[in-house]
Amino acid sequence: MSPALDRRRFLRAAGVSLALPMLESLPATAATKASAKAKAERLVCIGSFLGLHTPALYPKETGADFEVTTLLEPLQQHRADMTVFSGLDHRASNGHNNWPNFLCGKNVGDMTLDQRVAREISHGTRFASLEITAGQNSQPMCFTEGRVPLPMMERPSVLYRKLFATGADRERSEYLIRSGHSALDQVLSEAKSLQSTVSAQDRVKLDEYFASVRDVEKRMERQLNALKQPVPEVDIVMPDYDPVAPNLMLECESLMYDLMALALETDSSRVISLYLGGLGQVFTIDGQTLQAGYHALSHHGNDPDKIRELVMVEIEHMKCLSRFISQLKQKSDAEGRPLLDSTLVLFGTGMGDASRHANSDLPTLVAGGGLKHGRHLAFDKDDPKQADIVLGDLYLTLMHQLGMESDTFSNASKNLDHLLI
Amino acid sequence: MRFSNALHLALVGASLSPVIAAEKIPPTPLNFLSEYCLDCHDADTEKGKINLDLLEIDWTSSQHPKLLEKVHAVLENGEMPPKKKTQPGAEERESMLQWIDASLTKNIAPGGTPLRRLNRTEYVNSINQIFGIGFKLPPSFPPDTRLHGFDNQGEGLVLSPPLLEAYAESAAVIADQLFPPPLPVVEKGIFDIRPTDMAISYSSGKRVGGAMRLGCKSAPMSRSCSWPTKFETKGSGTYKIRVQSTAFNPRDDQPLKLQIRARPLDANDGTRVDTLRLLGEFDVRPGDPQTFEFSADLYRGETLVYYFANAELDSDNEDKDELRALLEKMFMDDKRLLAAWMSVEHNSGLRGGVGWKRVKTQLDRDDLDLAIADPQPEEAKKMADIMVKNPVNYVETIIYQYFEQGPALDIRKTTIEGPFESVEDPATKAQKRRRSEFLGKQGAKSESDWIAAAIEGFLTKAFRRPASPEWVAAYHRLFDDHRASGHDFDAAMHLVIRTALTSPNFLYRDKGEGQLDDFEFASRLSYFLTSGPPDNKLRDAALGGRMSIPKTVLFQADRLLNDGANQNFIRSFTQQWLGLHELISIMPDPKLGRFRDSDRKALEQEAEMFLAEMIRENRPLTDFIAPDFTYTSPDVGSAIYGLKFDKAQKKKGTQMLRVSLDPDSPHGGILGQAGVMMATANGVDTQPVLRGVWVLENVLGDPPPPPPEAVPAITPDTRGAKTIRDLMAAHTSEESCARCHQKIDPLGFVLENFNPIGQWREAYPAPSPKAKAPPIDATGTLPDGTALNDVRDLKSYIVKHIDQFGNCLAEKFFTYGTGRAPNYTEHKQLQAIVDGVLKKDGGTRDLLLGIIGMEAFRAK
Repeated sequence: MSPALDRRRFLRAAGVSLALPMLESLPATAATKASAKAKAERLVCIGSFLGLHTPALYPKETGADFEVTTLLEPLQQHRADMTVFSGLDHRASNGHNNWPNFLCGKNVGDMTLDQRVAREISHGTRFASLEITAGQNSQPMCFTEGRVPLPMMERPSVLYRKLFATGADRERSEYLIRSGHSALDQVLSEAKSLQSTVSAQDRVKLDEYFASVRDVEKRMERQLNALKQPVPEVDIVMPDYDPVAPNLMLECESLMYDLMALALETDSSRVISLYLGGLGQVFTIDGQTLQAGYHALSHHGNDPDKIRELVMVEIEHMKCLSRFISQLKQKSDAEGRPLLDSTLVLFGTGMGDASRHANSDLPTLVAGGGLKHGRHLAFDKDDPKQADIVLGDLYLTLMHQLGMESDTFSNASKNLDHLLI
Repeated sequence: MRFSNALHLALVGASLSPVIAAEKIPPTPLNFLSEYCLDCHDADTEKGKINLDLLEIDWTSSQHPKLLEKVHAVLENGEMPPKKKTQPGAEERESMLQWIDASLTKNIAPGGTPLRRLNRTEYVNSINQIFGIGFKLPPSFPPDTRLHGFDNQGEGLVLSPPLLEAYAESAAVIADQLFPPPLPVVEKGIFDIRPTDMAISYSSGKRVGGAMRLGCKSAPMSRSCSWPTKFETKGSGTYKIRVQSTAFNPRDDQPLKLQIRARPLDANDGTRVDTLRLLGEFDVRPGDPQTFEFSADLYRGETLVYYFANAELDSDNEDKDELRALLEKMFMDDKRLLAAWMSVEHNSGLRGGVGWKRVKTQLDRDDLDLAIADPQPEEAKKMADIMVKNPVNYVETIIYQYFEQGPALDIRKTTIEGPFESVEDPATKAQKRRRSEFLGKQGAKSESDWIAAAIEGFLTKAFRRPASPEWVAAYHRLFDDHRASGHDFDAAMHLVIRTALTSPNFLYRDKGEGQLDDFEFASRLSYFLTSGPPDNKLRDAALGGRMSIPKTVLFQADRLLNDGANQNFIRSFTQQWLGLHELISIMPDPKLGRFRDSDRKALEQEAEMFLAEMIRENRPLTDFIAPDFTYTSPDVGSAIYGLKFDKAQKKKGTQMLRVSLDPDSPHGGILGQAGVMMATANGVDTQPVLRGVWVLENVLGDPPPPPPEAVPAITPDTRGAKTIRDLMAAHTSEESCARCHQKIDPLGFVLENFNPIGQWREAYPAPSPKAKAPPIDATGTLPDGTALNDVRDLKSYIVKHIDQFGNCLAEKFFTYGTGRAPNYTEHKQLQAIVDGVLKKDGGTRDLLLGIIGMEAFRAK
């Protein structure tokens, strides 16, 4: 049984049955300065460490009338809602260590697309952003403004608990907040007695402290109120083990997508990143155990047998992605529109050709979010007219669609608005 | 004794005088100002935003003293009045300077550090010292702001609500390490594990029939082992484990060794097997599966690992001869196999089962040419040689032959039953140890006295001074109230810890007024030299009231300056003074050669080991500029400095060595270290202005004012039509630019011989493959007329004017140590310290100790 199908065991129904209306019940705190012009409200970034075998992905034809390819076949039902991009990259140098520039742009460590977007659109959601990995992650994918790589959640059970905390977890959070009030009372009285012994200059410093304490008290109130809100009840049965062993990666991937769809539906977060690992996992697909680990397959050296097995793995990635897009179509937002209409899904990589560790021509797919879809858009950097179009230009368009007014992203200063918006 | 000089110097220092609020400017200076300055700097024109139209000096404002300092500086170095304007006579100028100097010295008292919040490093070190844990900040923890070049400045270290919230969150995580909430009780269970639920990583195993077959013993778990994918120990305890296994085609009926070990499920799959806890080792024989039953402790979060300990194949042995011998024998025993391997195409695709299939296709050919394997010994050796060069890939393929032919180890069913008895895992043991150390022994004390004693001990450490009875009472009350509201002992202690760790008494240092008291001073000294809170010895000195005795202070400082204790200071100070924290974000242009993380580390270590020696050996300040030694690794030393290393050294390419430098070498010292040159460039090209400003700020202590607004950065002309010197010519032709750039540009150009990673170069990269590489012109003239040909001339110049560098370094040490930039009075005192060190042929350690001995260093 393929892991993707295997996962059906755990999901009782395609949708979720809710104890309460969800998006509608939450206060509309997420309204942001960006949202007035926003056509999309959520961003999902998926990064595949080993990329995709582009000969099996890219259609020969450009535009709308392309013949479906092996890797696009599982996504055929979403054809009208997605775009395939070829020929875009960050003009960065090669090698595994440059992989993390997938969302950074030209330089590894620059604030990533997801974090820039989260900073603008995530006000009021429970989690400004979620960083998740399926498979052990060997490279960072998301960087903060301060160039700090963000850790990723590797266990579905951890993500589940974070999103839909169990009774015990909520009790602990509530306890820590309530008892935290007595802690603040004590430190306030210490600050007051300190205040009487210090200079005018130091009183300014202590004012910072008092102001912070008052603000944290208000934050605690808000958190307590949030905790009083019923937890979104979702009808997903988690397996009694965490699929973190290497060869269960596809199962983990599928489960993570399910949880991501639920996180978006419950408006727990609007920016989610998922990393797809690529180490030595030996997969069993449709009962057939592959002849080499995923990473070894990616170094195929044009061996057709290896490519066949590599593409088998990548088809599974595409099936998982397709199922995720289907879920976003079935689930709806507060206005009753399909979630996908206002959710941008970016599937990409920092690796154009894993066999050669080449970081040019990064295969990229974008679905949903109200963009003009249904085409294969090919770019050629050897064409003087397109020589300066980079992947960051697409990111700028995604940001514009999310209501942001950015003009530059890393080495990109144009955009693809004219093609997509 | 090493600090005798410094002790003497410590006596230098101004006595504090009362500060007057506002003071009328006497007629002579007032006339001077109106005659020579007000043309441009009156209230209307305010050239350069400077208004000198004053009648009195307000010493309580922060503006006026700074303004006067500025006037003093430009008058002294002759920058003002501008050459074109009327100049004051020498005597007139001198008396004006004297008046300003006297007024500033009289009115500006040493001191002025605001309450200093612990920065990230200091916070972590404090936590780990208080609790003896290995706490690390979460990545989301807010960063600190840098001011005056350092991240430990009172004014820069602000507190914001998100930061206080982050402190509160961390405090709960820390308290969990001593007083965690109780774990849920785990029920006993039975878990059956079949080969379909066992992991395969790379080519570590293969499912054959009803078994997981293992064939190699490589050290990384991911290369050799299998483990249950769906079993994770929920509760630490004793488990009964039954493993069914059989040996597949062992040689000469020798038993195969099966090791069962324990791994944390969250461990990196590449972890070495020998670091995992061994639970049992068994001799496995061929034939019917044998059942091995044993009892073992499994800890929460662990699962089993199966390891074939005496397998023949090993891709990870550092000694390649074992693998080579195995392969040669294999090819000597089977000529057909050798011929097949010789006939297959060896590209990167030959890996794993797919690769083995290729070899087998050859093996099965009826027309396989066996003659190519002649002479067999030579060909077998050649093939083995090819294979041992890439053992990981080849073993991943050859292992499939073992999967088919053996010897291989088959794991069948595993049953795990338990937990029968709960056991304390190492994490719990450590937590209980910390808990009992925190609480101390109750002994004959009442519970209340016992708790009070624990609280007192904790607050004394956390607040870095003896806990006052009021504090102890308040925290005791917090504890009692929490218990009274229905929470248990541990929860109440958890709250005590959480509270203290968000208290201003923990988060802030440099409390009080005037001179710091012994405890605050012990903290200042300790955070200065170790980035951490006072250790026991320093605490004892403060408790004993001895931190007011200069001899004790210098003794303690000298102790903390010893290698080991001062590692954090060395690292943090070099990172910030020399800007090495930039290195992590610089990606050198691949055209400059391969640059690895280990190279970056070597550059950081060079600067650190250099400063450590300067302090340890009390080396003269001139060695910062023109030393005859540096530290480097053979890798970096040969690639960047062009140094020669012997074979044994090259073998350990990343190991740091102390190397002597030729007297004529441009490398070495803060004006030649590759780390500094890299940090002042951007990885791709050099920017003379940035380097020039860097030298002014960090070597000569004469920072230029910020650049004017609306001046675009210079874009390198990649076509090579204009040299960078042409592009910068405008700096000297425009008078407003020239004022600063006549200082900046020669310092930047003279460093142009260092490329963006600090290699010496004589020419810029050619703009195109066919074009000529433009030669470097590093020449220039300093404002005082000194001609520079290359960096060696700059070094001689600074060595000649070493007091200027000394003043700059003293200012950096002082700023880093006190959390404030020195004011006018403190500057003069620092200069006196530097002069004293130089006169007595003292060194770097003398300078540091001299600064620590200053009254100003102790001033709040």
